[in-house]
Amino acid sequence: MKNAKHILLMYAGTPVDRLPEEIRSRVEENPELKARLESQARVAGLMKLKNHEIPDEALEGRVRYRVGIRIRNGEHLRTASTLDALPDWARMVAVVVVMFGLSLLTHREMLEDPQVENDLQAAAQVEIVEPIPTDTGGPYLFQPDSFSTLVLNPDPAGEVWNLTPERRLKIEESLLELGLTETNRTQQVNTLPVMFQFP
Amino acid sequence: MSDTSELHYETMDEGEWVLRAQQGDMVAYDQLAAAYQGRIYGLLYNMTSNKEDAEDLLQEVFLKAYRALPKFKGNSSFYTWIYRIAVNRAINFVKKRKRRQALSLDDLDMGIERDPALVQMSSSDGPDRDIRLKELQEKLNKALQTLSEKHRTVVVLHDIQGLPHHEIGRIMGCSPGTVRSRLFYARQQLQAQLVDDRTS
Repeated sequence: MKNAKHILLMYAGTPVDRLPEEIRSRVEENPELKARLESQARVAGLMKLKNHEIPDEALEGRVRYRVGIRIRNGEHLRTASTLDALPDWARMVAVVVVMFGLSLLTHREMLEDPQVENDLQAAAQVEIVEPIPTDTGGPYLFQPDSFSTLVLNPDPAGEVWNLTPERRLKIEESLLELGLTETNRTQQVNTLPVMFQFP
Repeated sequence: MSDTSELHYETMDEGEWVLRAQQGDMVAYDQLAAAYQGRIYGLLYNMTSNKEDAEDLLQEVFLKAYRALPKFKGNSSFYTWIYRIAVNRAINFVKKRKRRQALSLDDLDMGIERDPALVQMSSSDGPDRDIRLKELQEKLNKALQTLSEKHRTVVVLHDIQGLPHHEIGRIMGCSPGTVRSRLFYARQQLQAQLVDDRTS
């Protein structure tokens, strides 16, 4: 004799009135089993209705035509990347791991290169040249790599008085070209906007 | 590409189509595609509940099958083999799309209207008949989308497409017993979902 669970699994989805005689009599004796089988058959019947959703008539020709074109274009030869199948986070991790591995390899190769040792020894023997002292007084620039400001220190005790006469004359001429006289320069203008051309 | 001018593809059987397609005969492959595309489209559509996605996937399945055709040894029928490709592709797609709900029910052809059982169920008279049909269609699609990919697959293959348990087992790589138990569980879920929908 088959038990209820076995009947339920084996005949789920079949309407009770279409079950084999022996099984149907067992089911009729067990109301709970019958109710569950009927419920399964009802859902299966409802799902069968979806079978009647018909695609548009042009689909058949359209798909085959496109597949034909894609095959002729060799799309089927392009192997799909394994990365495509992975979720986004896994792809990011994979990229980071690869980059880390590459940097390790490069770093190791660099350290193991005998030329590096020679270079280090040669560098140790190079005579260190002292920087040439330069005149740091006078006008100086803020933000030398952008739109900058030429600052003249109005304090007579400050850097401006350390300018060489030639440089000072040049600045004076530039200021005059800009329409700044001796008087209004000291009273009103301490900073000048200057645009530098980059090479 | 082979010379196909003297061949009568209509009289060939599936085995010959497969053989010729494996040698690069596009006409033979087109015959295979024509033979199976309706059923595979049905599978893909019911898995995705979206016409455009199903059509794109159908193209991909045929491309993938063409690429893999040289590896087809004939251990299973071509039908089982290409269905397996389609099921795997659909499951992968649905997994990726999980967070994006994309039902284009408005675009569906209403071929369902021709089903006598449904017509009776949705009361053949009355101005709201079309609305009821559409509602039912929508409910079934929504309920299907609540199932896991594997449960959805068995419902689509068995209850909608009518494949036997052992065939589904071969396609999905599991035993017929597993197919039966997944089906049972899936229908319970569907029943609960449809009842919930009705009460809400």
